[in-house]
Amino acid sequence: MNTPFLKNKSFLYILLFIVMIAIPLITNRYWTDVASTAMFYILLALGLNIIVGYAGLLDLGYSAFFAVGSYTTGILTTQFGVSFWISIFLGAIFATVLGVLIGIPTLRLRSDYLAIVTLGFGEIIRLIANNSKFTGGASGIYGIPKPKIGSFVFQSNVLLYYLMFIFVLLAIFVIWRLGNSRVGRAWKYIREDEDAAEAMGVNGLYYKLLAYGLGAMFGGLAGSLFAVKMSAIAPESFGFMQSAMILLAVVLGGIGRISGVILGAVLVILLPEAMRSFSDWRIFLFGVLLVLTMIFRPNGLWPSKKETEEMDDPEPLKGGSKSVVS
Amino acid sequence: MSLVEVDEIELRFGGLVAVGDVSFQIEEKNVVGLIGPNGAGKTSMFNMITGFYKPTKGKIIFSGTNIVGKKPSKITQLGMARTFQNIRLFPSLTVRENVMSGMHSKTSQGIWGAVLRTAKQQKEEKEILEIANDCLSFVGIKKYAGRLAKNLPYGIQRRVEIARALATKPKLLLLDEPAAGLNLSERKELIDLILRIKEHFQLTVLLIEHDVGLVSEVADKIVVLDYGRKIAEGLPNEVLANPRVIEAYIGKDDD
Amino acid sequence: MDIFLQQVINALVVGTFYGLIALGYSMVYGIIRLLNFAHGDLFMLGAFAGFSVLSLFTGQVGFIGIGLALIVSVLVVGLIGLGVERIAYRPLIKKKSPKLNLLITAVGVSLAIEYAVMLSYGPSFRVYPIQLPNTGFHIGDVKITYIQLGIILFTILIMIFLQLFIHKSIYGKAMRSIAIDDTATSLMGIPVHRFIGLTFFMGSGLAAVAGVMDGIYYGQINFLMGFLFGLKAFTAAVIGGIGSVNGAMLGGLVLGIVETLGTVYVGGEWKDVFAFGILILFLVLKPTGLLGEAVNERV
Repeated sequence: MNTPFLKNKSFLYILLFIVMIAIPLITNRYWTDVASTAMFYILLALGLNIIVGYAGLLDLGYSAFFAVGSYTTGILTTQFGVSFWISIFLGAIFATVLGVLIGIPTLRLRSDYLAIVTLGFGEIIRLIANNSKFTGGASGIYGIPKPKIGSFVFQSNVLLYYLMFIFVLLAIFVIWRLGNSRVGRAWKYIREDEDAAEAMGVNGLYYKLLAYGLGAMFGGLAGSLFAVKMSAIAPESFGFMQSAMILLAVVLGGIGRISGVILGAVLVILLPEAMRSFSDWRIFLFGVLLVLTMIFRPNGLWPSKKETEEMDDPEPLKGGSKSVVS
Repeated sequence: MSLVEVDEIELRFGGLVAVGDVSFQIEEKNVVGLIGPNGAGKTSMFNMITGFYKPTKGKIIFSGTNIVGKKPSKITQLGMARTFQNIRLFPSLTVRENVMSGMHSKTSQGIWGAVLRTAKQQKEEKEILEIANDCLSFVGIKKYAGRLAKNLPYGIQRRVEIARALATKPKLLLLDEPAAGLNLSERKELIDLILRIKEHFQLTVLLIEHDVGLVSEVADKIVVLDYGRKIAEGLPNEVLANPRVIEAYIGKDDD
Repeated sequence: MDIFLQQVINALVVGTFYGLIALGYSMVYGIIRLLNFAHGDLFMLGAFAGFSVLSLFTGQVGFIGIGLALIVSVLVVGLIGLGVERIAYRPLIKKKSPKLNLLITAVGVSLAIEYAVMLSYGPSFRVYPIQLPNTGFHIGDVKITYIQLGIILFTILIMIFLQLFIHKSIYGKAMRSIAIDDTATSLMGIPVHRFIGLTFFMGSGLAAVAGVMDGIYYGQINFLMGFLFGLKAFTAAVIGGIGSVNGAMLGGLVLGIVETLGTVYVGGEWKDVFAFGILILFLVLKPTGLLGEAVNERV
């Protein structure tokens, strides 16, 4: 390791980790809340990144899975007295099942059709939440209890922040390992060229479904956490704008890369804070930002990986070891 | 023994017959050339064998199984690998990642293996890397392994595609116009490479080519298509002397 | 029965709006295979452009006012549509960016247009500055207002013009040939980009017409009106068969009728669920739509 200490990546990550732990201890309640919201968006963006960034499927209705997680926890904890831990588990399962159910008929479609169908689906879920009795209609569900382990209650914002932080770390771990595996590579092959992937023996439909289901699962998890954090949920939180914001988070920092996605999610939360004096401009600027990113930095703000030149074989055209012969 | 039997295959697009009633066989460990003028149905034939098009009639038997109606990924898993006429690499992935895709169908790790990094998964990952590196070495492009596929010159991209196909450890390798767009020295290297592949891996090769000269240099047998029909089949020098073939090429083709 | 027929008449009017917007989706998709996500917002812009023109009149607004509103709206929105293509889409198409990037750009354009209008006209509903008499005539017990009749007749006129333009004019022929093969068309010496621009202009103009008529018919407009309407117009385009001009109008009418009947028999709050349900069903079961042709994608 001849990298200078300060440029060493793992050092940076450790530093970031310490900062994230310290935030609620050294800042006030307001900034702890901002940091908590950032945690949601990181979790959501990591999940959507599996679908959009890894598998290259544009999902414009991701908030539907977020909603399923939220409502599962909201309804089960308030009306049936189910513990949060069971509800978050079920929320994730319901979201996954929904993802697979939507995916089976629609993932065969062309990519642009898929975008519109998922958008329509997101709206359907929001309308169902808005029009049904069991979801509390337009006013939603309130009085969602905080999670607890035994008699220990995650009452304060600081504790909830740490709870979310743990989930985010877990998600990063799982998604990072998935991304750097045979499954993750299959997703990227499909994203790059589905026909070629298929020709290499990658079952396109299966891996797209897998991406969709897993992405939905993380959406569901984030939704459950959202419900207990806010203690009240309503259909407005799950509209198209929510899906668009998560998409922006995925795109802005660096689509398909975990560090980029985290950066994007943090930016999506911090930018409005930085320009609160003209908050009306927020969404307009986000739209412009989406366009500019795609035109000038389609791989996001996070710097791209460097290409490497490797040593050639001493005798390039005569080589080939026996291990290739099956 | 024949590895592939194409049996009275027909492909229609609406009323248009792209390929009609074509039968031929590919014998094991042979290089078979499929030639014909533009629009003769070569690529359609190719896409049917690899599962990208579904023939409207007929059978394709690949090492004992009828593969008509099977998905391309399934057919690849049975031991077929292809390249594309207009190079279809994974553009923003590295050359090594591109070639690793070939090992997909020979490995099996899923979500749990990936997340838990089981011993079996680690072993598979190591194997995937090894084979990918070997294939890169074999086609002589190891030094490009860390480069993004889209940033490489055309001739190198062609080789990446061949390495990627080899990494699936196929019984049958299908090359779709591999010489298209290559210059003279690259073309010569390609002929050399095809012969080396056949020799080294004991592979069967189906070669679609516009370049009749190239085919006659490497093929053990040539099948000629014209207007979707088979007009000749046999040894290269026989076929190229066949008046119908000459007419198809010189009489009608103008490029 | 009379209630049913009355609903069908109302449905036809909504259907023509869907149809006019669907035309733009279809034309743009037909020529560059891009789903212009922001198209619904051009419809909204059309309504607001008309709003601004009509606001200039004091007292009674006559046919001249409406005519002027339509013309200005078509020109302004047409040019904006052209600008969107030039600024947002063309750089990506030129770079041969992945489709995903184009779609994301389109989402960004949509958000930018919506909130630019919100910043200029405010977030609340605006009352359309025109009062047309609600008179009409009866056929049996079914009432047709003159506004409804006017909208339907005007739409028929537009459709006839479009048919002539696409099938008889040299411009229409060029557009169709670009749709089939843009490289070959450009080799024939046809300025492909200019025709893509023309298509955007026309599609946007049609949406603007729908926007003005919508404002007059319903009497109020809002910066988010294009989102849902655009989505439904896309549904209409899919029902009719994307890429087909007649299909777009047919799809609009079918969607209008199905949706209106759904409202009557199932309940208004489920109206949108109904529309999206149809969209998903069509895409899954008959993605080529009623009048569309199957597109073979080359491997």
